[in-house]
Amino acid sequence: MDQRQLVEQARGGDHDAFASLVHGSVARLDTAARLILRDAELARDAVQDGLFRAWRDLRSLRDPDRFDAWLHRLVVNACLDVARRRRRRPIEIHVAEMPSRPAADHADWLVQREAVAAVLRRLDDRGRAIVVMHYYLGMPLTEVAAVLGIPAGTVKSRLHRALGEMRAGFAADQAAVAAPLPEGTVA
Amino acid sequence: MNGDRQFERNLPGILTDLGAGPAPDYTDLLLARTGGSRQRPAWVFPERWLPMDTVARPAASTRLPSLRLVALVGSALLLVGAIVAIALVAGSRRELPPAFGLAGNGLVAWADEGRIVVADPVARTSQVIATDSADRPRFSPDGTRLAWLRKTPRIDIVVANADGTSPVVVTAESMIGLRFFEWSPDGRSLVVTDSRNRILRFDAARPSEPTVVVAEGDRDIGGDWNNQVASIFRPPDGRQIAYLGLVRGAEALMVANADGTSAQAIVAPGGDLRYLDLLWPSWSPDGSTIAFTAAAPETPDLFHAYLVNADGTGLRRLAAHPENPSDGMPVWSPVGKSIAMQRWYETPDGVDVRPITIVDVASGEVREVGPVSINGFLSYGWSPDGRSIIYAPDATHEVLVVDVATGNVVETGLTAGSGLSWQRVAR
Repeated sequence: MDQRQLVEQARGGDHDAFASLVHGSVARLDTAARLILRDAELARDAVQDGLFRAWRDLRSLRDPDRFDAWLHRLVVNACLDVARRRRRRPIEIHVAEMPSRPAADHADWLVQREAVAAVLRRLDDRGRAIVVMHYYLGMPLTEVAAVLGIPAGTVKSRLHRALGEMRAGFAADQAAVAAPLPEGTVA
Repeated sequence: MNGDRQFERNLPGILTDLGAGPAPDYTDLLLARTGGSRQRPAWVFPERWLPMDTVARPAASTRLPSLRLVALVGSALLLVGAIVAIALVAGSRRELPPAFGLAGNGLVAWADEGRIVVADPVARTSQVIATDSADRPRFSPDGTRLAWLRKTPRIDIVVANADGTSPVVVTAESMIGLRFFEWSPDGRSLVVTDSRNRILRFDAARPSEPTVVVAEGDRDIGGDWNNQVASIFRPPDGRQIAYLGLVRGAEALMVANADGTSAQAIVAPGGDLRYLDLLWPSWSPDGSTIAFTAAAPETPDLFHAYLVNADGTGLRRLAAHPENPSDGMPVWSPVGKSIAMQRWYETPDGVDVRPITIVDVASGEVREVGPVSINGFLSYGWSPDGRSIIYAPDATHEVLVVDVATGNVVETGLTAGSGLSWQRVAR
């Protein structure tokens, strides 16, 4: 049974079909929520809220082929709702596990990763949501703009700025890595 | 340009790495929740639908015995046992502190990686009393019992004696997304907010279904990591509660009877205060005033502390500053003369997090005590005797006690992973 059929059945009240849809999407949604909220427990709350709304409001979805996009919107809105309500601490430091990458591009990957992480830390919740929606969830800019209720041009400029900062951070770190050590320095 | 494109192509993978974590373990829980819920019919959109699958029964009204009566019959009550309203530590005969105001300093409890730790900050000794995915312990107002959350990942409330013995799970059905929780002043019940933004009351003595006190509130009454902040029961008798509810779809500060009836908004949209968000309502120990924080629509991340009288009059800003810092988690001292809070300033170079800030409520005078913590404070709260503040900086988690008068800091040598709860004992 393909996803469209699952959605149609779930829309008709078939909870098992909905469960299949959940199992197929929850990991990705959980990652997206973690990126936006930078807190695993809040992310869990947001994803559960979003999926609960998805079950409750599934009959409002006219086109079953739009299920993924619709679900992404619900979860992102749930994240922003959680973010709006939470005021945890002045600064948050999130330490993620280091990934395993092929040795050949390991150094570049790590530098890029750190550049992205640094920019995400500086962005506010909506800024992170923009980056995550477009680059992680694959939502087009118009859809990102619709979710946030802002013009597409604003989304574009914020994305452009964030990407620019990431590239600048990556380039600076790459230059630092490439610089030769002074003679006599122990590496 | 090729490098830029390559970077952009790598970005989804990088984000995947950054956001990766353990596989979600809450799917079954979620599906249990949706499986028990109805879908909205297609014709109702976009109207809101409120689920009401719990029969609301008003909590039995209780009158607290007067303090004089407690003093006169205290010894006799200690001999009665299980039918007495307040559970006792087995075999002990001791005075109990009043539910509000000054008390003696007892032990301190916190959670650390799923364990409940009870410690003596003076003797610098500690003991683990629970190990089953436990979190956020909170002593009862009389100091005889300890409640905590068990997260597996469903959430249950466990109530035990103050030394951890005789634990009882008081949630007949495990919960999802439990956020705020607090003891009632008489120690008979626990009030929580759940993922559906309801305020629920549980019997603190036995497993039972909760009573819905407020059907439409805000679960973020207080921070989930700092149990000392936000107290919804109005002193001295706890017959009223303050909470965050909804008025015309927008958040409002409400005061109601303890069973949720006769609710009135004392800070609401369209009033004297323009706000987007409210947090952390907390009664003064004399029950006359509520402290809370609010963020303006133009600056949703910037919260300021306010005070308002219980009837909604006298709204005023607490300790305004020309550099416009953000205020967090205002906590009343036990006698109500001071409020401790967390304050930080946004600067071009970053965030300037200040030491714990103490405000004299009458004069507005502000001073700081203790060291700076780069990420602020995991938890803090006044000692029951009002002389100290116990706190754990986020950076180190070390439990510190600062003398409010002198600023002297005592390092306990202990570390905490969550909110700190200080046991109140008779003076």
